[in-house]
Amino acid sequence: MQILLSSVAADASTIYLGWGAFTIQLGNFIVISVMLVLFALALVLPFPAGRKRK
Amino acid sequence: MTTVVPPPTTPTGPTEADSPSAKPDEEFYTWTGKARRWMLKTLPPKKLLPETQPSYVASWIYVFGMGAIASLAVIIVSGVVLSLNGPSWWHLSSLGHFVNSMHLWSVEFFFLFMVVHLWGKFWMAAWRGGRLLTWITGVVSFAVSIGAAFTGYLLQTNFESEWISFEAKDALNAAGIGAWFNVANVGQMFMWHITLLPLAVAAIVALHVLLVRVHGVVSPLDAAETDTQLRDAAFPELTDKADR
Repeated sequence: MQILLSSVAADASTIYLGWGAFTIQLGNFIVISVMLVLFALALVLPFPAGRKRK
Repeated sequence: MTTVVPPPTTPTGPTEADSPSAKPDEEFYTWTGKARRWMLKTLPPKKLLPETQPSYVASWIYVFGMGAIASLAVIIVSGVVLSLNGPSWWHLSSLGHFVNSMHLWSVEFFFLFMVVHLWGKFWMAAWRGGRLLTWITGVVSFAVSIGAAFTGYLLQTNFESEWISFEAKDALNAAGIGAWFNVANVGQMFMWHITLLPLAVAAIVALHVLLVRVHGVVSPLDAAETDTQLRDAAFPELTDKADR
């Protein structure tokens, strides 16, 4: 599949990413990516041990 | 002259009815008493404010709900400061800019945490074990939060908010409610954003948390039903007796 990373900015301050017919604003792409990364890390990273109780 | 008072026929000290766990067969004649009996039965203090959680809760996937609540607290506090000072303050002063940005970014984190929380709960089918209403209140709080965020974007009092309101106006007019819910009416949107919607979000989130306390934190899908922790969560009174 050909991935096209293009900037189709209608406004100089707004960057859009495009994969074929799919287009997404850079800010939205970052937020969704961060959520996916957080979700994956939450499943694999060990949770710190709690305080030992008497 | 001394007055001799006969000893009371009934004890005047603390009675069973005063204790947090009233007897289940005790008669209640008032709605307050009946409500207290129902509340103590449904959510006794030990379940409302527990000291321990099952070991499966010690996972990062279980922290995002609390992350969303922490973000909501920052949203409310920064929103109160913004509402007390008004638009000229958040447009013209550096502290106003800071608090305005804090309000925006806490909303971003609120939705970010809420979405990861939603994914985690969806993939562990968190509506299991009588938790359907917990799931539904989560969905409703998400939907109401979108409305609260939308009305917030209308209150930036800049060209962006003007553009958003006039785009939304067409959609709401097409849906037939634009004449009543008028997004171009900044006063009306202010009232929705700083009174009704925050109260609705806070009330639904509070109900959601109380339901989590009532039913307990959902277990992972691969936990066996015979798991000691699940059995103890379902019958805490058995565990209490075993501890004595």
